[in-house]
Amino acid sequence: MKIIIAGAGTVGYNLAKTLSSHHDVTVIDRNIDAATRLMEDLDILTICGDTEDPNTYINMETDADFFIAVTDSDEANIISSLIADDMIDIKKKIIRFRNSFFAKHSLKEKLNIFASVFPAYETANTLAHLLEFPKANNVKILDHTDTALVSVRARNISRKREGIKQLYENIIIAGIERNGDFFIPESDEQIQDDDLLYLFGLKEDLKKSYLEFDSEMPKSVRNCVIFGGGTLGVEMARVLAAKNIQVKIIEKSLELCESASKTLQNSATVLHSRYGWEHLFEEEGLKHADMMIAATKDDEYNVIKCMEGKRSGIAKVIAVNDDIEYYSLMHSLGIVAIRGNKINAYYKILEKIHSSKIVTEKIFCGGKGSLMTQKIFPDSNLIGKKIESLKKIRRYARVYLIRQNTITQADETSVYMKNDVVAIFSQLKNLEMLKTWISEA
Amino acid sequence: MDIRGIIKLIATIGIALSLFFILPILVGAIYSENILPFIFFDTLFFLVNLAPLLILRKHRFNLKVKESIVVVNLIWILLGIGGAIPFVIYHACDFPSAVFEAISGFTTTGATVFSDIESLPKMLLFLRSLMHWLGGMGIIVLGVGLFSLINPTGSLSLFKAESTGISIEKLTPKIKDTAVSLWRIYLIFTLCDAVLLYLLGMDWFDAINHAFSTISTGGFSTKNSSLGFFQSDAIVWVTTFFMMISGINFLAHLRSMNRDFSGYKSEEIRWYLFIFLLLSALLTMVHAFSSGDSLYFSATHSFFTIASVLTTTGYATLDYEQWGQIAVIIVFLSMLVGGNVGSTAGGVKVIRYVLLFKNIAAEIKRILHPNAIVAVFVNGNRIKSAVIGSAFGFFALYILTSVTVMLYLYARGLDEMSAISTALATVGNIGPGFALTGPSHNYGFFEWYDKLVLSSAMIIGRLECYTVFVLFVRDFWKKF
Repeated sequence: MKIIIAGAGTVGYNLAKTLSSHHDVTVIDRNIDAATRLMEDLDILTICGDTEDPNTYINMETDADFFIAVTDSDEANIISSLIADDMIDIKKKIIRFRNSFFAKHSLKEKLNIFASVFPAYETANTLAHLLEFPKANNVKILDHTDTALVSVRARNISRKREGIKQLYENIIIAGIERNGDFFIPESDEQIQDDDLLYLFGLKEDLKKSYLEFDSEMPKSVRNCVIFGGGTLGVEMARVLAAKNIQVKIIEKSLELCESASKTLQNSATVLHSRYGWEHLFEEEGLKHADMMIAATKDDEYNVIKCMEGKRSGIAKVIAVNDDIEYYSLMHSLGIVAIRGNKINAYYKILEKIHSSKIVTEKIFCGGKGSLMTQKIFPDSNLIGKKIESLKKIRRYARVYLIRQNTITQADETSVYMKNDVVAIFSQLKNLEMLKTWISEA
Repeated sequence: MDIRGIIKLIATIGIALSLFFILPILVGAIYSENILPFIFFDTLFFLVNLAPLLILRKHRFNLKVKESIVVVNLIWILLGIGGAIPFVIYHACDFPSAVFEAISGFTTTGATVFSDIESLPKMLLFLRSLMHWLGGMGIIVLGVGLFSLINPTGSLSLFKAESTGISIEKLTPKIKDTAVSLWRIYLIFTLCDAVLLYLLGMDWFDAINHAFSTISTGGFSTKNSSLGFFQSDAIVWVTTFFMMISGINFLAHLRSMNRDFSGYKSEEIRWYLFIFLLLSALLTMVHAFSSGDSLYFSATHSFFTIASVLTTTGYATLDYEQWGQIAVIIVFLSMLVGGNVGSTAGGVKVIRYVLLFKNIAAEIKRILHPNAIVAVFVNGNRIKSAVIGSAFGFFALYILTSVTVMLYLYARGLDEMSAISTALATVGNIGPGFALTGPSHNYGFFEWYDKLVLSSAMIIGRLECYTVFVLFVRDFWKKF
C-alpha cells in the first residue's frame, strides 16, 4: 500500500517505522532536520514542505491508499487532508484530533474521513473498561461479542501448581508475560508468582473468577486521585465521575486548574499544587485513595509519581505512558500502564490501517501479543466450511470460535457458522504469517 | 554482532556471483573453449555458498550499521577471491596477480597484470568485463534489490555503508525500488552502447565487453592496444559520450526517465562538464602543437583521454605521455577530479571540489567582512558546516591514503612519477597512470605483496576511505 503521513513527530515516526517494512511510506514535514533524520533512519521517502501548501503535493505520486494526518494542530490536519485529497487520489484519510469537538461523527462524514482518531477519548475509554475490572492491568473488549481480554497479575494463587488447563473452565489463559517474555502457554504450563496473565472469556465469567488471581488489588474503586489536569486528566475524571467515583485532580498550573474546574464543575475537586503536593497528601487524605492515575505529559514524572503513590499505600497505581520501552519496567514495578495520547494514536491508526471490515486487529502486552478477530457475516463464503488448514498455524497461534456466548477452541473439524467470531491469539512477530493464512482461507 | 547474519548475507552474495559466473561459461561454450574447470569451480563455489545459507535459512537478520560495514568490507574480499580463482585454474597468472585483477575488475579500476590480453581465453576476457559491470553499479546496490526480498528492513544500512553520496537521495519510498530503477537505467545504457559499438564495426563480443567496461567506467579492454585497436573515430566518440554520461549522477538519469530534467541542471554536473570541456580543449591544443597532428585528430583523442581519466575509466587510444609534460599535467589534473556522486565513477568527485572551493571563498569573504553572515549554497540550498567538514575530512583522508601508497611505492624503488600516478590511479580507481604504469604498460611487474597493497588501495578508494578505516577504530569492536 502507498501511505502518506503528514507530520514527523513521535506518532508519525513510529507509524513510519512500523509501516515501512511492508508498505511504501512517504512522510511530509516542514522541519528539514526532522525530515532528514527520518530519511536516514528508515526506508521511506521524506518530503520537506508545508502540509497545508498544495505545492508540496505536486511532485508526489498521483495516488495513495492512506493519508494520515498527525501534525500537532487539528486545523492543519484537516486542511492538509483536504488539500491532499484534492491534489492526489487518496482512498482513505485518517486524522488525529486533539479537540474532542472535531472527533464528532458528523464532521467525519462531512470531511469524508475514513477514520478520525481522538486519543484522549481512547485513553478515557480504556479507563472505563478498566473500571469494570478493577483488579485488571488492562482490558480489551472484542468487537461483536460479549467477551474480553483481561490481564491480571498472578499473586498468591493457591491452585497454581495444577496445569492451567484444569484451572478455570470458562476462562482461557491466552498469554503469559514472564520476566519480560511473552508467550502463549501450553495446557500443562504452571502459573508462577508475578506472571502477568492474559485471560480471555465472557465478561460475566471473567468478572466472577478473575478476582482470585490478585489479592492485593482493591475489589472496587470508590475514590481516585489524578495527577495532571490537562485534557487527558479531565477526560478521565469525567469517566470516573460518571461511575460515581470521587475524584481529586492535582495540577501545578493555575490556568489548567481553572479550565479543569470549569469543565468538571462539581463532579471533581481540582487541587492546585503550586507549593508542592506533599502537604496535600496529608491534608486531602490522598493516601486513602483506592486508585491513583498519573496523567501528566511527562512519562518519567508519571512513573515516579506512581512509585511515590505506591509507597504511601495506594494499591492501584496507573501511569499514562507514551513510550513502549518503559512498558516492562512499569510491569516489574507493579504499575499499571495506560497508553498515552501519542502511543494510543499510533496503535489506533495501525489498527485502522490493518483492520478491514471483517478482520480487526488488537495489539497487547506492549506490542508483543496480537489478537485478531474475524466476524463471519451472514453473506460470508466461509459459512459451512471446515477450518482444515489449521495445522499450518497451530504452532504459532491459538484459534477460538465464539458462538452464541460460548467459547470453544477450534480444531480441524470445526465448521464456520453464521455470526461466529473467530479469535486468533499469537505473538506479534507471527502476525504476517497469520494474515496470509486468513487471506488464503 | 550478528555473525550468522553476516555469513548469511555474504553467502547470498556468493550465490548471486556464482550465478553470474554462468555467463562467462556460456561465452566459453560459444567459442568452444575448455569450460570444464570453470564449471567445476562455479559449482563448487555455488555449493560452498549454499551450505551456510541452508544451515542459516531460518536465521532472520537485521543488520545494524556495524554489521553492514563489516559485510561490505568482507564482500570485497570475497569478490577478490571468487573472481581470482578462474584466472588461477586456467594458469593465466599466479594467485596474488589474479586477486589484483579481480579487485581491479570489481572496483572498476581497470588496471591489469596481463601484457598480452588477447592471448587469454574469451571467457576470461568476458569475466573481466563482467566484474567491471557488476562492480560498477556497486555490487551492494544490486544486493539492495536482492536482499530487500529476504530482509525488508535491514537493507538501508547496507546502502548507507556502500553508497558514496554526500547524502542519500531517494526518489521512491522504498530503497529497493530506487535500486531496481537504477539497475534498469544501467542496463539500458549498456545495451545502447553495445548496439552502437556493434553498428560501428565491432563484433558482438567486443561490443558487449566494451559496453560493460564503459558504462561501469572500468577500463578493461579485450585488445592489447585498448580502444586504439579499432582505428575508428566513431567508436572513440561514442565511447567518449557513454563514459561521460556514466560519470553523471544516475539519479539525474532516473529523473529524466520521468521527464524531469532538472537533475541535469545541478551545479555538480555543470562544473563536471565545464572541467571536461576546459581540460579537453587545453589537451587538444597541447596535443596538436606538440605532435603536429591535425586538430580533429587531436580533439578526438584528447576529448577521449580526458573523458577516460576524468570518469576514472582508464581506456587509452594513444599514449598521452608522448605529448609532452604539459599534457601529463592536464591528464594529472583530471585524475584528481573524478566523476559525480551517485555515478559509477571513482575519485574525489566534483561536488566535493565545489564544496571546498565555495567554502574557501566563504572564508575569504568572512575575513573581508567580519560581520557578514556568510554561508555556502549549492543548488540553492544552504550546506551545513557538518557536511562541509565531512567533505574536507574525506579529501584529507583521500590525499593521505594516496600519499601513503605513493611513499610505499617510492620506497619499493619506483620513480617519482610512477609512484605518484600509480597511487592516484589505484586509489581513484582509474587504472593507468604515468611512466611505468602508463597507458602502454601494465601492473604485471609488481611483486605479489605490492599487488596486495595496491588491491587494498583500490578497495579503500572504491569504498571512499571511511568504510574501510572505521574497522581500525577500537570503539568499532567494543560491545559498549
